[in-house]
Amino acid sequence: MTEQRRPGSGAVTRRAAVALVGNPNVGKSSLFNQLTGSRQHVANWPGKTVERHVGTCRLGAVDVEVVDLPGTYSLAGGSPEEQVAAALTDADLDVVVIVLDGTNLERNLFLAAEVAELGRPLVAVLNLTDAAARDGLVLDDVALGRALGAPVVRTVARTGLGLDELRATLEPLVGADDTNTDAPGGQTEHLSPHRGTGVLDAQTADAAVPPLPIAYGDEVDGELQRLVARLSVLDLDVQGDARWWALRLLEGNPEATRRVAASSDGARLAAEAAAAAARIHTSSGVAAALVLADRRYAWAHRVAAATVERSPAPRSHTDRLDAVLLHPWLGLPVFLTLMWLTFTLVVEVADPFIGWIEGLTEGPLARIVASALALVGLGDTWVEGALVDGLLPGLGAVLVFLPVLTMLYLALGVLEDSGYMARAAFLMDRVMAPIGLSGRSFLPLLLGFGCNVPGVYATRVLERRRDRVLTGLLLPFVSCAARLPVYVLLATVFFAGASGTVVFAMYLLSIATVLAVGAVLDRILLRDEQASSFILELPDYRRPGLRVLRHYVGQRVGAFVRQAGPVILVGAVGVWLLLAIPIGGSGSFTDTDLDESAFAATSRVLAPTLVPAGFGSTEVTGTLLTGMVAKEIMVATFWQVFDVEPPEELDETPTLADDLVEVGTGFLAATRDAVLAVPTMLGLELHVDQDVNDTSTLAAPLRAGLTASSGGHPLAAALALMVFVLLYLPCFATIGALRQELGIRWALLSVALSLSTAWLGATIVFQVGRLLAGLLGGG
Amino acid sequence: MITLDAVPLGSTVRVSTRMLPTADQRRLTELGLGHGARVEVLRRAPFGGPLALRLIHGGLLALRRCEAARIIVIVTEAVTND
Repeated sequence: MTEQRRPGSGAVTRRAAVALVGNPNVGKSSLFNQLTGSRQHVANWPGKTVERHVGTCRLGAVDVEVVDLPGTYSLAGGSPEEQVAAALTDADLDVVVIVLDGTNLERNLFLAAEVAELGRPLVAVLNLTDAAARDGLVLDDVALGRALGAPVVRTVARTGLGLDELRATLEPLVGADDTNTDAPGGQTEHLSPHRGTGVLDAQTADAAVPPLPIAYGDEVDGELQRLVARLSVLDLDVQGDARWWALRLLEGNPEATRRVAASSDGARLAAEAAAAAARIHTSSGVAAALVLADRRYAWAHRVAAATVERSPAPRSHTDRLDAVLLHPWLGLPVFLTLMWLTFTLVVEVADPFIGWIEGLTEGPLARIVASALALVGLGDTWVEGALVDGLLPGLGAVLVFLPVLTMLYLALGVLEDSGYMARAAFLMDRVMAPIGLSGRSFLPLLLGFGCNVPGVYATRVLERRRDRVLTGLLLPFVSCAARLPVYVLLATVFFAGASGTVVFAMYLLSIATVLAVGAVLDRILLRDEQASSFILELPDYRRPGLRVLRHYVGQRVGAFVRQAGPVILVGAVGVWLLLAIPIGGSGSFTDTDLDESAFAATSRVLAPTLVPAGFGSTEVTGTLLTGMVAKEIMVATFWQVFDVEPPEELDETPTLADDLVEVGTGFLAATRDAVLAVPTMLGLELHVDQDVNDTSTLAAPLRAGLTASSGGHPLAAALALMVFVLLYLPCFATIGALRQELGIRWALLSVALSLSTAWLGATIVFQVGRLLAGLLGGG
Repeated sequence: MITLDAVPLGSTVRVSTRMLPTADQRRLTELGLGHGARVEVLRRAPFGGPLALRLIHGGLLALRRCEAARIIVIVTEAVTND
């Protein structure tokens, strides 16, 4: 706790910090929301992509900072356990609140034991007591309090029941009861009879309740004592109980070992701990970490046996639901229906809102900005160009994602909080296992067929970071709906009669690429993070809490605007700049011919790299560049770069405004087309856009252009180009999403990976196609 | 003595020996599948997917069959046909 004297006021403001810790699915987020209301924010842990939820609540005269730690089953593993352990040993922490699931006490007590061993002020919250009562469980919170040496508060966090008692229990622990040093209200006293009592009290109590500290057996306890003695004489830069650190050292916890070894003379101690662990391993025949875990498990089992009384209960609603949802035959159709509903909700229900936002940024907003600039004498200058043609479409491109992502997070929140997502993972595990992914990856990849961006954000449902990285790297290879108009254009021009088959083949290639790249990445890139055992909790089905959902959706959408928004904006403005800057020629800034712009110059420089794939012309390269903003913009760009005679020469006025307005409308079209993408994928119907269908004027120059660049093999070049469009760079929005979810390094790796895969794929297709054409004597 | 993957659906077993890497055994213990834990084998996912287990002391878990094949159990209650 820290005290600060406010300058001038003379009043003392006290601050305190409380951490919430618990297993996943115990209602921790509900409790956090009940405690902090709307006074909360999300930030990342320093240097991590794991989120840190912090809120404040006022207890008496003290402002209490409440940290909601990620759900975890123990403190021993890697992420997120590492962050939880670090937060719990933070010097500024005043109270630890362990949240326990009343329906599942035995498993929850494993983590509770690890947390209680910290020796920090502890409050136990016994949550979901309503569900426990329904399951026929009678919970003895007095015995539980004795075992943990901590006050126990019974709550139903979703409805707020017990929250007043929790606040009253926390008050003295954060020093908020100065004005009332007597015991608080009788009701609270009744509900948490063991406040302030601890281990000493427990030793005189019921022998059936094993008190802390856990006895680990003579040998382990002896080693622990020696380590504790050594730890306490060292000047260590660590917080918390020496015994807790000794336990972590014996377990071989890498983070604890690193922290201790970093202290002066700590390296020798860490080595001694390793030797002690080896001795335990030798004498017991199992690793020291397992000896400790089994003892802790036995303790949890005994405490649960002494505190939980079972009476026969009717078959639970979870059992009844699972009988259908996990049924060998019914389970899969229900799963596919739910996934389809989610997909439809994300791409279709959001659609009208997208149109509205689109209209707003294109029309009224653009006009307002233009007239405002005219008022201050900047009309028709580069400033207007930059704002109306560069920044505003970029802003529109950010805004159109808000409805999509709102729907996405709503759907994810419901699937996750209801307990269904774990069932989806169970059902699809066998299908996803060959590419090293769990069943949970199915939904993100499915969403990717609509738009890669919500797909990337849906990787959040994956529990392991390794799975999130792998799924995120695979998503750009999933053929999003924005790529469909490009396939349709090329297929109609070059493969008339078989266009449907060719487009369908692109979807098959997309799936094949995901499988192949997934298998390769799983074995090479992520080998060090190899999937450990698949063990999954199937939580009880619960009604999602609306408050938690609302906070979740708001936070996620806000994070998108802050973190991916800038990437999209910079990308859109960057393409505008390329088009506006003159290189040579007679143009001036924002008033330059397309073929004299930096854009054309960049295209010319990059074009030779695409010659082996058969489409290394300035026109196609430029088109591919604009496709980075949004893939279906390429269709509009094709018209601009080819629709004039002769095709080698470009239109003198590149209708800059039209092109950049496409930045925004492109996303609209993408999402609209998303609805049509899946029937196409299933071969049911091929949606051909009206103006794309009318390719009569574009066909000849496009054919001539590819014939020239491919040395007379336009079909092979067209097919290679389609493959390239399928596989090359994720659009700016996807890069922004990847950066937000995985960090900048993985986002850049994704760019490199997709670019090289696309180049390789397109080159192979073109060269093989050319060879075959040569053998068959055709073109 | 039988491995967990071979237990008929509906039987209740007691976990005996887990022949898995230390980290995996630890994970099992953390989630309630410690030495001596009693579980009922509820169902199997399609296409040879994971097993669904009910811990007698509360909670449902899913476990892949290849891992279940490395957990030796003792059947305490054979499947009843009711």
